[in-house]
Amino acid sequence: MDDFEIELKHDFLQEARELLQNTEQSFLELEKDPSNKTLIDAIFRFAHNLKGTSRAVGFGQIAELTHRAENLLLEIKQEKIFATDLIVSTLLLFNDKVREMIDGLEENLDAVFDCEQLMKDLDAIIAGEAAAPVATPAAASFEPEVEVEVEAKSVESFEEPQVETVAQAVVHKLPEKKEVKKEPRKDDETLRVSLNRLEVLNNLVGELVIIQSVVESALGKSGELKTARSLGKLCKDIQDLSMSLRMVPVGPSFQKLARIVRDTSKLLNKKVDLRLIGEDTEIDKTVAESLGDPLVHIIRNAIDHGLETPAERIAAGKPEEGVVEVMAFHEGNFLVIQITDDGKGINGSKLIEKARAKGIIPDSMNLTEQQAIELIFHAGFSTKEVVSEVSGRGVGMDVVKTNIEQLGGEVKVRSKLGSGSCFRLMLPLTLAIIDGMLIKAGGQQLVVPKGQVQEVIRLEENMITQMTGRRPYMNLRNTIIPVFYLEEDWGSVATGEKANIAMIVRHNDQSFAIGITDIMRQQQVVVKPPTKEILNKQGVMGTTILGDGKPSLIIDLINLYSRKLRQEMNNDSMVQAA
Amino acid sequence: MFNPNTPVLVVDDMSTMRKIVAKILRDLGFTNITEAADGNQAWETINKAPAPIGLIISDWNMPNCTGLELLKRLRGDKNISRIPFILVTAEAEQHQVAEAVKSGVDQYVVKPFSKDALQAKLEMVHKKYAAAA
Repeated sequence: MDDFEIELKHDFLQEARELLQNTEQSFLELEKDPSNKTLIDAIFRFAHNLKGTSRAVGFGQIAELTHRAENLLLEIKQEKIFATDLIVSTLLLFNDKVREMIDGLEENLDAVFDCEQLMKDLDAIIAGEAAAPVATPAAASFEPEVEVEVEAKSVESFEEPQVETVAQAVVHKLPEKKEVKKEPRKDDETLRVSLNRLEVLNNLVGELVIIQSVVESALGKSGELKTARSLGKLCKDIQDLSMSLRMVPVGPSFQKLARIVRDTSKLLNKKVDLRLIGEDTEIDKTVAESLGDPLVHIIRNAIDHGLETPAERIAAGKPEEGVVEVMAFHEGNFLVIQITDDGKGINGSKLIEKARAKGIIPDSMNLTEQQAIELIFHAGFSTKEVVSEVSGRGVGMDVVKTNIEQLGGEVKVRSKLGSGSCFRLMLPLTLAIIDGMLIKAGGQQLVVPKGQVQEVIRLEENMITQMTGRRPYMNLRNTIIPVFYLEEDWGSVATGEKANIAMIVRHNDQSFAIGITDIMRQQQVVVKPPTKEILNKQGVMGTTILGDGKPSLIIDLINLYSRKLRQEMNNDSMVQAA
Repeated sequence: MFNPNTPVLVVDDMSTMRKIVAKILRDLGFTNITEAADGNQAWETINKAPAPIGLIISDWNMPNCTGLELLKRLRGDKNISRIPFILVTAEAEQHQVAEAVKSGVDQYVVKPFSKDALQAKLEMVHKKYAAAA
């Protein structure tokens, strides 16, 4: 293979991947509206292009498989075959297979795949034979390691005709947005740039902003403040622009959900109306990529544990089709994704029972309803007696919570028994720049994320109550909150400096005070990921270079102290229990 | 054969296909190659191109405006002098070629095609236009 051929092959794989993304959406819509000519045309064109181009770049296997699918689609297009649920399922399998092949080819351009069965299935449908794909797409798409087992099951259930009709997933998309997508305007033309280059650019711009602040303070002294300010504004604009280059719409992450909802609802025989709102909302690419798994998990949970069966819903006086709404919007420096279902809600008392039985909380511990609901975030917690095939795979909501927190975000849950639950994911818009507060503690300059600090109060000695062997505490507007000292964890030397100021941090309805020596100023800092040496130190979010050119650690207060607090509370409850 | 400086327009909704066709054209010596992703874009390019487009190589099945629609639009416009038009087809479309010929297509190639295949077609088209001139 010469270089051009290799380049072409990679180009094709990337282009095909993008096409697949759009096509899956079309397949799902086709299921809802099987006689929609526009959709059929678009899907046919996809297969047509995929076949022609894959053959031209030398991926014969993709071409061969796609040729079968194209033939079937042509029959559908010419109205010789009607796109039944079964046929759409087979086509979705085809979609999955092509994706699998693309993934495989990206690793190894000479990879070979097994698609005999699928080609036979496609041919059988065209020949008008008992068209029966052996695996449901539901099984293939998210249970690959147990595929064989699930396959066997679906063959059994296949003989029952209601498989086709009982479960239906309906996907509502905002129509006006779809229109915009179809015909991109000329001035929206795009260019692919490697993320690496953008990262280098962002880093350089970050440095530029730092130098600018040094220059500003120097120029300020010589009376050239106006020039310094113009330079500052220019730098800020460049920085905003370079940051925005990393932003992508959440839409693609959302579109995957439509497929998940379809497959999960079919497997569970539940009816689900998925509503996606705010797909154009933008977020940092890195954040968007890490968002997929947590979202999928929450959605599956909502359908599996949240939504009732159609019969149960009718008995409860609800419409038989459950609603799952996924909404994205910006709030301050955060992207909020809210997943709401109108299912049965989370039963707090049941969770408490379970937690006690499992020894997660001591019998003597009383929890508020909200605290009880939040038990679902506890590691290794699953309330269903039998771990369900869909969502209980050992990966719990605790993993979702950890993942989101690692991104510097937060997960909140509200639930009302009988009316449903709402999960709220709050994610920072970008990981590369934060609004920081430069503080002093234990003789060190440190940066903390401003967003974590709820308020700052002046500490007087008589505000703090010390108890031997226990965490000191203070009374903040009639709430008792624990007091930590940053110096204990991150001071370079024991300076004996007084903690004059307390930052109040709130996490999961628990506030705590963190004593520091002083607050220097607020400033935006460019986060550089922690190096290997400090990666294992708890509570370090990264490092940055300050305006004076000195490096500083960025401390993740929530990560550091919520963990510490949990440990101390566990120790306490053990002491109490003993 | 065509002058290597002839502005060529390659129309295909798959960027990988455009790249392949452009590469073959460059290998055949062409130096002035423009691309468009569908018939509408191609139409715009034809009307706005600084030097008049002297050869079009277009895919058939494209969204918004197909290759055949583009051809009909071109041939129906009195202000545009006849531009040599080669349609790229897949085998599934071969039975439709008659319609393309009726609409004034000069040649068609079935993809995937080799450099030699395209060169042969180009020579035929060039001869036809040279004879007419």
